[in-house]
Amino acid sequence: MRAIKLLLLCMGIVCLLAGCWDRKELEQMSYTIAIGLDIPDHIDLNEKQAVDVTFQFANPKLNIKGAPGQEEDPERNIVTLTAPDFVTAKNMANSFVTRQISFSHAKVIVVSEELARTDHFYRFIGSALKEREVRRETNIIVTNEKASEFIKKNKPESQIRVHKFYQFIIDRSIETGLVPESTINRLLAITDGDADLFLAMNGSVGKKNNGDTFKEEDQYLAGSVPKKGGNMVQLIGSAVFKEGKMIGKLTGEETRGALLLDNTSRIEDMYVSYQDPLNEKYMVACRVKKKTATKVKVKLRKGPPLINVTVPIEIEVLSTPSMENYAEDLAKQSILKKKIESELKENLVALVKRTQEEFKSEPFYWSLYARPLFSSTKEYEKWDWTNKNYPFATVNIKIDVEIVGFGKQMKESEMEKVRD
Amino acid sequence: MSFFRKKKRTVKKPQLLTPSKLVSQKENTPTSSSLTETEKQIKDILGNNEDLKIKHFKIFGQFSAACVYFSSLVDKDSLNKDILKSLMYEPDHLMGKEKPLTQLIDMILTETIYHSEAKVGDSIDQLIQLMLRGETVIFIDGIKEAIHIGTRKVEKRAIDQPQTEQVILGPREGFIESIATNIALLRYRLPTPDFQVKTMKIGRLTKSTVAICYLKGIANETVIKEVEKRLSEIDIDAILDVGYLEQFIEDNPFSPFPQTQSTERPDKTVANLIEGRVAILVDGSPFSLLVPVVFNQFYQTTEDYSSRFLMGSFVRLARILALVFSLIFPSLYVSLISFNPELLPTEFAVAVAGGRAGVPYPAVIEVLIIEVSMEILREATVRLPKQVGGALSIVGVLVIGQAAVEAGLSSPITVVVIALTTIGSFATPTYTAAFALRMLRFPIMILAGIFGLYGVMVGVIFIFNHMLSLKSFGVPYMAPVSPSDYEGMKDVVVRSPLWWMPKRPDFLHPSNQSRLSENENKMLEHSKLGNDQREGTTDGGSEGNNSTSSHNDLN
Repeated sequence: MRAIKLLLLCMGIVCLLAGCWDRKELEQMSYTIAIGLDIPDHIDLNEKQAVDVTFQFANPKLNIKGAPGQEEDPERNIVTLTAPDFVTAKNMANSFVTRQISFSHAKVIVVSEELARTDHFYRFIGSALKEREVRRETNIIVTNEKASEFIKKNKPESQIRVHKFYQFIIDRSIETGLVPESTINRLLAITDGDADLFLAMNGSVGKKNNGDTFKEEDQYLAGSVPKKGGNMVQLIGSAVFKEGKMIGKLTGEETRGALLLDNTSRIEDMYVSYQDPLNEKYMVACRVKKKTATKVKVKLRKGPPLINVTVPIEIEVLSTPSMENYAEDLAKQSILKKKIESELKENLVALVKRTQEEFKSEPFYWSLYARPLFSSTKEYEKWDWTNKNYPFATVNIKIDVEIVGFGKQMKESEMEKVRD
Repeated sequence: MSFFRKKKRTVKKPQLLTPSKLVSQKENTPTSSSLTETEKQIKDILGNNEDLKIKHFKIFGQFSAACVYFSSLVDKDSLNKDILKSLMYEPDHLMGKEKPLTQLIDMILTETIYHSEAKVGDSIDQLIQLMLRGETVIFIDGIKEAIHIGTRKVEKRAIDQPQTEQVILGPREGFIESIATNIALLRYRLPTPDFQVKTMKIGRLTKSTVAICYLKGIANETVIKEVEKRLSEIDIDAILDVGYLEQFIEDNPFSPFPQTQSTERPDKTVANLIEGRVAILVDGSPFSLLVPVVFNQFYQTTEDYSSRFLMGSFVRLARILALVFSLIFPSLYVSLISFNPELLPTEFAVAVAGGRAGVPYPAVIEVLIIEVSMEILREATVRLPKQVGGALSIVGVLVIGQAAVEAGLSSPITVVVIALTTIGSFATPTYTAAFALRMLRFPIMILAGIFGLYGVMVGVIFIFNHMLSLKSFGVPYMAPVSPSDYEGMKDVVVRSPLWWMPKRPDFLHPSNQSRLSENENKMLEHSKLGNDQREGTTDGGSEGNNSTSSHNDLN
C-alpha cells in the first residue's frame, strides 16, 4: 500500500515538474506568413545594426456564430517596424499585436534588392540559422522595390488566402522553371560551400498594365511582363548571389537555362517557343522536359579544366501555327530537331559565358562534380574552383533532343485546301 | 438436562433447515421400498413446489407405482406416450409371463419402456438432483430402486445470427444458451474422434455444466491440463456466464487487455480448436471461451479467411489502422494542436485556429469533455430500448455535436476527430480488445495534454511494454511478432493465401503442426491447367500433363 502511494506521489510530481505547462495553444499564436527585410530609411547600416521588418500574418477565419465575417485587412495583418534583427522584432511587434508571433509557418522571406546588395544581408539572414522556428525550406524572394511594398501590394485572387498564394505561386513557378527554388537551406549551403552562385527568386510589383515591350515568353525580368489586370506582384527570373551578396540578375529564360544545367533543380513543365525552321515568321510551341539528369564531366588538365555537359531533353510539340506537318515527315522532324538543338545550345553557351565573365562563378552547382576529383578538401580549396578555374574553363555543351509527341491531334489542317 | 442442552445446540447452529441441506443430510440414503414412505420423504423436501407432480398408476395393471417429476421441466408428450402408455398396458410379448418383483425393473428397462435414457438409481439425494434437472423418477411399491428417465425439455431459443460478431461472408449460426446445442454445433463441424469434450460442474448453487473442448493430438497437453487445473480450483456459488470463469482463469487480472477470447460463433471456435486452442463452454452462456490467446487474433475475423486473401488482407489493414486510431488519434490531435502546430499544414493550422477561437478551454479539456460525453452517449445507446434507440442516438450524436460547436464548447474539428475515433473503435471485431484500447485512450490523452508528443510516445511505449510482458497460459501475448515466428507472421498484418501457410502457428506449441498435406502445392498451376484444356489437344507438350492431373483432381 505504501509502495503504491509512493508511486502515485512520484507520478504526480513528475507530471507537475516535467509537464509542459507553459505551452501555447494553436489559437494563441499569430502565424507569420511572410517576413520582409528592408534597409531602414534614416539609419546608416555601417554604424548601427537595424533593419525594417515587415510581418504579414495569417488571419484565421473565425468560426463563431454571430461574429462578423472578416476580410483580409492589410492595415491590420501587415505591420512594419524597425528592429535590430527580425527575431527581436517578434517581441517588439507584440506591443501592438495581440498574440504571440510564430515563424513556424513562414513561407517566404522577402528581401529588397537594396538590402541584398549590401554585405549586411547575409548577417540578417544568418539569424534564421539560429532561430528555431524558421524553417530551412522557407523561400527567399528578392524584390526590386522595398519588401514592405511588395508584401502590401500583393493582392491574390479572391478565395486564395496569403499562405496559399505563396505556397501555390512558388510551387508552380518552380515547376515552370521561371524562378529557381531558393530555400534558406540552399543559400546557407551554397554560401558555406564557397564555390557556386545562389539563385533567389526575383519578384517585383509591376504596374497594373504593362504592355509596351514584347519579347519571347520567358525573356523578361521581374516587373516587366506585359499584362493587363491581375495581381500587381509577379515572380520571374532570379537574383544572383555570390558569397552571400547579390551581384546581378538573370531573366526568366536564363533562369530556365541555369535550371536545365543544374541537376539539383526540379523543373517539370517548361513551355517554350522556338522559331519555326520552315517558316521563319512563325514559332513552334513546345513542352520541354529534362529526360534524365544532365551529364556533367569535369576534366582536370594543366590550366583551366575542361567541362563536358550533355543535356538530354524531351520535346513535345504543342502547336505549329505555320501548319507545317512535322508529325508525318521525318525529314522535317530532323530539321526541327536540329533547330531546337542549336537554339538551345546558343542560349546555354551565352549563359555560361555570361556567368564566366560577369559573375566569375556558376549557378549550376557544378562544383559537386569537381570536388570528387581531389583527395582532400585542402587540395580542392587550394585549387580554387570559383576564382581561378571556372571562369577560364572550356565548357562544351551538347544538347540531345528527342521529339516524343505532337500534341493530341498529330495531323495539321491543310490550309491551302481549306482556303479554296 | 443434558438432553435439552444438546437440543438447544443443534437448533442454534443451523439457523434455517433449507431443502438443500435436507438433501445433503440424506446423502447416500437408499430409497425405501415402501412407496408411501418415499413419497413422504420427497414431499418433505420439495412439497412446497406447485410444479412437483406425483402421479400414481399401476404397472401392467398390477404393481402400484408413482412417477414423480417437475411439470415445468419435462416433456409431457414423451412422458405420456413413451413411458406411461408402455407401462400401463401390458405388452403382448409379456402376456402370461411370470413377473416376479425382483426382476420387474430389469424387465421394464429392457423390454417395456420406449425410452433411450432410462436408468436405475437408488439414493434419494441423487434422485432429487436428477428430478431437479428434469428427469422423471418412477418409484415402484415394494422395490428399493427407482427408475429415472431423461425427459428434460426446457424451452430454448432458436439458433440465431450472432449479434455481436456479424460477418458478411460466412456462416450465420451462433451459439445459444443450451450447452447441449452448443456442443452439437461444434460436433457437427468436427466429426472426428479427436474432438474431445470433458465436462465438470462448477458452482455450488447453479451446478453449471462446464465443458472443456479440444482436439486431441493438436492441442498442447500442458495447456489442457492447466485449463483443467485452473477450472477445478474455482469454488463459487454461481457461474452464470462464461465471463465468470474468465476472471478466475486469466493470468493477469489487473491488465486492461483481455487474456481470453470469448466468441459467439461456432465456426470461429472450431477454427481456434484446429489451431490448437482449448474452448470452454458453460451451460447458460452463448459464448465460448478460447485460451490461450495472442493479441493479433483480436482483430481477425473468420471472414478474413473465408474471403479471398487480397480482400482479407485489405480489410485487416483497415482494421489495424482503426485500432491504432482508436488508441492515439485524439492524443495526437491534442499534442499537435497544443504543442507542435508547426507540424500541421498551414491551411489546416489556420482553419483549426479559426475553429478554436471561441473555445475557452485548452485542447485537452475540450477533447476530454467531448470524449466523456461520447462515452456516456455510447453506454446509453446500448441500454436504450430498440424502439427509441435509433431516434435518440441521432438526437444525441447530431444535435449534441452540432450544439456543442455552436455553443462554443468545442471546435468542429474536435468533433470530427472524436467521431472518427469512436467509429474506429467499433471496427475491432472483438469487443473486449476494443474496450481495452478505448480505456487506455484516456491516460494517453492526459499525458498528451501534459507532455505533448513526448507524452504520447511514453504512453504508447508503456502499453507496448505491458503487452509484451503479458502471457496467456504460457503463450506470449504479442506472439508471433515477439518472439517472432515465421509461420505465424504470415497471418498477422496481411492474411497470406491459405496454401501458403502449410503449418499451424508455432507459438501455441501444437502437438501436430501440419495444416496442408505433404503433397506438393498445386494451387499455382491451376491457371496453366485451364489454358491447356481450352487450347485443346494440338498443344503436344502439355497434353500429357493435362490428362494426368485433371483426371485425378477434377473428377
